[in-house]
Amino acid sequence: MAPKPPPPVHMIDVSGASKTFGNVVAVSDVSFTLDAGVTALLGPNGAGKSTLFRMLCGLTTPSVGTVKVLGRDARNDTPVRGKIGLSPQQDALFDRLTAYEFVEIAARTHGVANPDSATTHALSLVDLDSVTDKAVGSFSKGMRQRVKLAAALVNDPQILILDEPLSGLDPVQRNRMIQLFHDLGSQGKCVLISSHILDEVARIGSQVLVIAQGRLAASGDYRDLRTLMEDQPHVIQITTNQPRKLGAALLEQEIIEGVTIEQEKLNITTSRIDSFERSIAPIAKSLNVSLNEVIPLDDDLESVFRYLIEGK
Amino acid sequence: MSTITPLQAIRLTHSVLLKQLITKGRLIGIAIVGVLPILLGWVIGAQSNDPLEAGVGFVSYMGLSILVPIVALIFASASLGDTREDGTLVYLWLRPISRLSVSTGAWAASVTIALPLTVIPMTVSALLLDAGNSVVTATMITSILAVVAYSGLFVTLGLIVKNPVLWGLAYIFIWEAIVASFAKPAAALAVSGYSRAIITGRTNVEFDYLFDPSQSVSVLMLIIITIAGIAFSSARLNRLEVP
Repeated sequence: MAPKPPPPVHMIDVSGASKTFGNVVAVSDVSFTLDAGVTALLGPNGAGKSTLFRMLCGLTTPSVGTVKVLGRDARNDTPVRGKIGLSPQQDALFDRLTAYEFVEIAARTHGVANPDSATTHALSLVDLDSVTDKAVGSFSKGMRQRVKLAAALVNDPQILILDEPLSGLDPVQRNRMIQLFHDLGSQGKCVLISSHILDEVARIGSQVLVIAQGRLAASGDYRDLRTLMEDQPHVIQITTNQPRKLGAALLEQEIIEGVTIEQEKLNITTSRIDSFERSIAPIAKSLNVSLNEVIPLDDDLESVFRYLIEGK
Repeated sequence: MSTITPLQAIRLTHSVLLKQLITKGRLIGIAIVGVLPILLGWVIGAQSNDPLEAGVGFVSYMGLSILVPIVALIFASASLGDTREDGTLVYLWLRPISRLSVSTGAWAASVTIALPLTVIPMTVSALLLDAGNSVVTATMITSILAVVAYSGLFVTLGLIVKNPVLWGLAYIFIWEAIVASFAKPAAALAVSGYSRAIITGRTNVEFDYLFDPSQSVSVLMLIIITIAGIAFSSARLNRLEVP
């Protein structure tokens, strides 16, 4: 009989990991595996995303369970640390170093073969090649984010762990960085990116891990999660000069299921979000009603979690 | 990709932390403090009947018990302590280099700054004391050894307590200055006891100290304190929960 092949080694393998600080449970019984590609870790502030990232990098040990990166424990395995690029959430940098020095130190401590060209390349990837001689202490929040990213990328790591890397970036930079993450993912790297912004996650990656209150609430393809969400009635607030007239018309056309009126504000619930989005403007126009504001009230992350965790 | 040698890792850590440690405020403050022993040395040298004994006493109490430990405390405790506090430690800790290289680099950075800020004013004051070349040489050697040992000790302190400067001052002014002068076992755990023993031994000046080890034992102990400090901070880095 042929010997049983060893189980495959995942690039990231988290098994039953929990982390407690005194009586506070930061991460509770989380398990998942990740391989090449881009994965978004979605969760509200304080959900345990950064603690999970710190465990992955070995910065802190799990209280229970195991956390392996490339089959190893990053805390005690020096070579595996050389295969990780981390952009931590905290804003702190070596402020007295220039952008070039900050990234170059990362290259040299990683033993990169040609640290100068690697540094120049990493800085150009994040569009900081024009400010290489400036002290990072003088950088804006967005530039600080990008210099952290450059330092994380300079050793061409197999695993990239990026904690809220898009916060503080302008829309153009966000697009550039998201494209860069996708390029890295398609090159076979395991890119794990945290965010607490739902729309951002939709653009970061199709693979999503949702964490809330320290627990893994859901995982899988973002579109599946979104579809799951879209089965739920949406709550939308419309500010108009004639809320009764508009509400009646929407009910009559069976686009909405429920309506409440508060002065000029019309709060509606609908399961047919696509129809609603298509029809609201034409209906308002045909009724000669002005639409001042249309705001989704439940398109925030808390609503997603409430649904995923509590099913409501 | 290849890993770098421990020496390269020490050099890189040293260079990063050196830049972080050198702030205008710290340098100006300590330069001002450094003027004080020079002035006192000049006054004592001009007025003393026995410049040798007065000079050695001054170097022992002013230099080796106050200036050297305080300057070493300020820089050594900040070298890794500040990085832990502000969250930049992760940029050294997560690299594929040994923790011993990181703590040695931090110690080396502290020594690089603390040495000129202590040895120069102490040597100038020893010259102004006009107590002979033996005092000047002994002052230089002892100041260097004391800075090296205190730095090893205080790099560790920066990693194990929240307010290392306060704890360090308590060690200097309570443990070393008071407790160690009454209890011999406590004196054996005071860096200043060994550094004072070296300068008095080299200049043949005798003071009535409770604890009076030989010069060779003192040098050996300062080296042991330095190595133990670096090793302990390295072990502490291994166990640390990095922010």
